[in-house]
Amino acid sequence: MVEKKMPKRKAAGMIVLWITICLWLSGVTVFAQCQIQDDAQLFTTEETQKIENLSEEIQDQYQMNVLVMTCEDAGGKESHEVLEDTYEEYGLESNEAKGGIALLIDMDNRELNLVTERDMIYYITDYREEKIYDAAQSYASDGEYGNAMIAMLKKVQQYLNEGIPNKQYTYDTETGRIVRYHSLASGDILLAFFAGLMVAAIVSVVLYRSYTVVKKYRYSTEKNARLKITAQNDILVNQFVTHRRIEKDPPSGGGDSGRTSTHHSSGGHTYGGGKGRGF
Amino acid sequence: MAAVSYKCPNCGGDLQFDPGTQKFKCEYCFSVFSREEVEAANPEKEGKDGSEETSQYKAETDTGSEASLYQCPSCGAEIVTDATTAATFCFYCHNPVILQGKLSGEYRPEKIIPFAVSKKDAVDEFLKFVKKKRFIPRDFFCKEQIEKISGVYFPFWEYDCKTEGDWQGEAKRIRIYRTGDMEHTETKIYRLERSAEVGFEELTRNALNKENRQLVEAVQPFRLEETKDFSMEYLSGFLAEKRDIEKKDLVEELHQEVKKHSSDMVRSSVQGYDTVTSVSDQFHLLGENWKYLLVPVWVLTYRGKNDKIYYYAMNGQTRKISGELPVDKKKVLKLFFGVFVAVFLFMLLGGYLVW
Repeated sequence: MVEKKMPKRKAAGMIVLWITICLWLSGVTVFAQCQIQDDAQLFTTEETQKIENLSEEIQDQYQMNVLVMTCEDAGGKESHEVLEDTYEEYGLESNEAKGGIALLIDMDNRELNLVTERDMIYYITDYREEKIYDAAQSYASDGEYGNAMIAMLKKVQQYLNEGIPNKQYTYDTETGRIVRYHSLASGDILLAFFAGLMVAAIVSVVLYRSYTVVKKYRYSTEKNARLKITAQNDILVNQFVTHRRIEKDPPSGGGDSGRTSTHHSSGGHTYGGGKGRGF
Repeated sequence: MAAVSYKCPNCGGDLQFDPGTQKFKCEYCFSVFSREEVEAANPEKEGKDGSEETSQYKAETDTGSEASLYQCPSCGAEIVTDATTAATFCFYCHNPVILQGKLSGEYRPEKIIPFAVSKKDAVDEFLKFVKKKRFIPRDFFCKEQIEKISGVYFPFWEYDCKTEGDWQGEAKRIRIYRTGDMEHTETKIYRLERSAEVGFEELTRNALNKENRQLVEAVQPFRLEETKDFSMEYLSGFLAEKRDIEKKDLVEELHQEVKKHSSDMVRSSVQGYDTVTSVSDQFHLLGENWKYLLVPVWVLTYRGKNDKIYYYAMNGQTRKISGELPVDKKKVLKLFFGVFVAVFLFMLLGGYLVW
């Protein structure tokens, strides 16, 4: 009896698991969204296709929203405000995605801009934001706006692949609040592993030796011997001075400090980025 | 040479030294006597030069294999001992027997540290010691075997001496200071000369060359200030050994040791320098004094459940224990993994939270 019931239970369990996986997978596909809004009509059909492909890759691989925009008229807003408002108009800030990025070529303000939201804030630090603009600026200056956007998206994809930088922290420019992103690099785990092995080995060997090795008695001169100095003479035989120039601290290499500056949109949501770069 | 035993003045039973009271107790009528009272009651037993023989003496056979034959003063049974045994028990009547001639003449000890730990205390102490050790196999020690512990007086040499000599060394004094963006390191080198006298007391050496020598040496130090003038009565109820290592066998080693200690002590006395190194030293002995003494040690030979023989020694005065303990490898392995996991998690947590 038991043998007959077991396969049925197993089958039921498998079905439930399968349904759960399917639901989860189907859910993943609808969590994040891609939007391309080329109001300034800067992209060719071919470029638009490439941009779409890149955006979908980011969306599928990282469950991040991607909003790609161009605008002719910013309506008196700053570039990052245009991005934030549009992002929120699409409702991307509150969907099931892990986060998102919005990229803009603003022809009104002649500016490249990007804002990040939720988990994307951890990936795109201030340093990386500047590097994204660097990748696109020359194209934008030459009027190759499609290539500029493709370059920005590729850079975003590269940083997502690289992961959250070590010692990343979020700095709220309005309140001054710092929130550190705690993570463990593979080097940290390896170090902890070997340190654990080392300490465990030392403790075990010390314990084993304390049981199996008979400690020798050592005569204590401190306790049983008396010293009397009857004559002493200290003669200076040589003296010299060596000199060394103190090296100043080398200038910082300008690497990624891990800081992401954040601000709040008019809708009250938190965004990273938004510094922009003129072209 | 004679085999003697000390008799109770009241009932004639055999007397044994009691470490708890530091007096002599009759195992039959439970009377207790001081050393003076025992001496007065057994006047002929305290032979000074081994020439005094009692009626209990029957024979001694030196076979060349260093075995000796005695007759038990209580039951008349023959007792066979090795060449260094100076006090033992009759194998038949279990009464204490002191082989007087083994500790007379040049072999008569000057001093003795009487047992201060009774057999019961020694067994309890040993059980306490093994219970504290968590990594020995469970139930490895059984009380029945531990109760076979024996109290043995071991022969030791005590060496006191005085050395005198000169020591030369080199010392450096380093001062670092800054001017602007320059750092200057001033090094002054000194030649040091010292003359010194060093007095050494209570340097001890085991005077018996037996297998458990290392263990007996490891239970040192003894409180030598508590030594007493040697008297045969202290041996009653214990085993005792005669020395087989002479002064001449130790003298060179001890001279080297005191000279090295002298040099090290002078070097350690130098203050006020950043580094001090010895360059040369010449020390010679001004005088030395040797004492031959017996020290109390409880010894236990233990056959483990793994059939391996383990040897233990406990200082019969200070209760210090030495000996190799069996290790439960599974318990050590568990400790290894426990420590590994704890350190690994602690470091991961540290790495995660602290930056």
